[in-house]
Amino acid sequence: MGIIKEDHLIIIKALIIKDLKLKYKNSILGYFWSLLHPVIYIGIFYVVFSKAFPAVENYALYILSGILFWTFFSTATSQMTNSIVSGAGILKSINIPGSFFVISLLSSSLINFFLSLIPFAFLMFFLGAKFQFSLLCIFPIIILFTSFTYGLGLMLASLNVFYRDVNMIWLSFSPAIFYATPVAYAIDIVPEKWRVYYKLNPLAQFMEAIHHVIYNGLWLSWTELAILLFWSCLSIYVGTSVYNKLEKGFVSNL
Amino acid sequence: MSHIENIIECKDLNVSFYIQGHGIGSFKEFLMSLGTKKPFVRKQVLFDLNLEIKRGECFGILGRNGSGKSTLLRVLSGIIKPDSGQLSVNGVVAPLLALGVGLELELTGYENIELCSSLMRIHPETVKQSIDKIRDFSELTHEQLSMQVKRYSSGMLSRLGFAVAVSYDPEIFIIDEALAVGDLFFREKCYKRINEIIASGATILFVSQDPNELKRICKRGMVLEKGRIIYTGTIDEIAAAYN
Repeated sequence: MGIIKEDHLIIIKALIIKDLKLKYKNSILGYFWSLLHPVIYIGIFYVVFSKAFPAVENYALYILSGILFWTFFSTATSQMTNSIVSGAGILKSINIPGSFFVISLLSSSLINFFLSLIPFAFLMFFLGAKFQFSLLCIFPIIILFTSFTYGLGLMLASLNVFYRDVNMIWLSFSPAIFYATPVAYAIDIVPEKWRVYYKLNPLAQFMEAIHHVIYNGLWLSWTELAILLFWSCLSIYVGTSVYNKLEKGFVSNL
Repeated sequence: MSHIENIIECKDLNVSFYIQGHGIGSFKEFLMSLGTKKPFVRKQVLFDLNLEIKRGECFGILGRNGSGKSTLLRVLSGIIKPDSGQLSVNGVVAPLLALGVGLELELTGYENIELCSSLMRIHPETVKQSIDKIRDFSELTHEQLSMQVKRYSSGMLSRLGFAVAVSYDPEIFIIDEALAVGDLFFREKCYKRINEIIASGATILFVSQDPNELKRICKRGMVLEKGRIIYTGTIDEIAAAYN
């Protein structure tokens, strides 16, 4: 991506402002949707699954911590997938790298995530999360999770320029990925012999870490951190490779 | 220096697109052939272009639909990278002025001015200072600019697009048949502003299918046909060659 220059920052900032404005234009509740969306989700899961997984103690806190991060991941990836395609008009008339659209959508999702984190943090403490130093582990997790999401989103967005099926595939598989990830249930229900394969899902690793820190209130081990670092580096490597390979054909296929 | 500097220079420039071979079905073929058949084929659009445009010149590009005019402009703006050949552009290129393309329909006129200006890498302070100038030039009222752009007529859209693009004194200015829209008075105003831009020493590339429109402001130009330059010369010569 080269060196970050001042005029690049001007462009990315303008795109982020555009994304945030567009997101809630013509909507009455506006920003409150980013609070309502997870609340509705959590409500559904609480009603449906607290019976199914009675083993999980303080289930509300468990899903709350999981769903917040999942909502960030799923909205960010689905919006990023379309970002280059929907930037067609601009990409065809001004010399701007396509990745800027992906970066700006990721950033606006991240801003939304942080805005929703503030009220939900109060809720979490109300539900019994402990305010302690180990909670600081959440920041490296957020950074790594965001990087992981960026790499994946960049790859999906680049491929989507050539085959719009990518967007459909991603939307259809999102629920499957959701159930293959311990967002709303504990990993214990996965049979022991499957667990090795189950853990190959990078999202499972991230979710485990998030629950570990917020729900269990424990420090993250260096090994866990190293695994997350591995997945985010791999994702960024694959994402940028795909992007660099396909970038040349963007304008002629938009 | 008596040597005249070229602001744009192309040497043996070749440009091609990667397009889907035979529609979406080609992906099926690609899978069936286990990767030996390519799903994307290369289609060359511009062939061996040689071009020199001098600083401060107003250069006309004449060509039919599909002759590669827009592609050439995109190459010169840096949006499309050439496959081979040399290209040097020694100045800041203003964005392509296709009719209101790049405007975000859900945002208001003012928000679009800010957005487009930032995308043109203009500093926010400069944008603030230019807003009055842009409003005056576009002939849109404060009330209209506070409206979402999706409620604009096509004429209003292109007036806004043109006003934004011309207000920051670009070094290289590209006009892509933008003057075909807007009413007569606005067109005259555009020509007046283009002449001001020329007087300020900027270089203008004017693309059109109509030789008479080119004659109004260009002295020199070229004819593009099927991706090749078939003639370069004075505006009267190329008009003759085109017909």
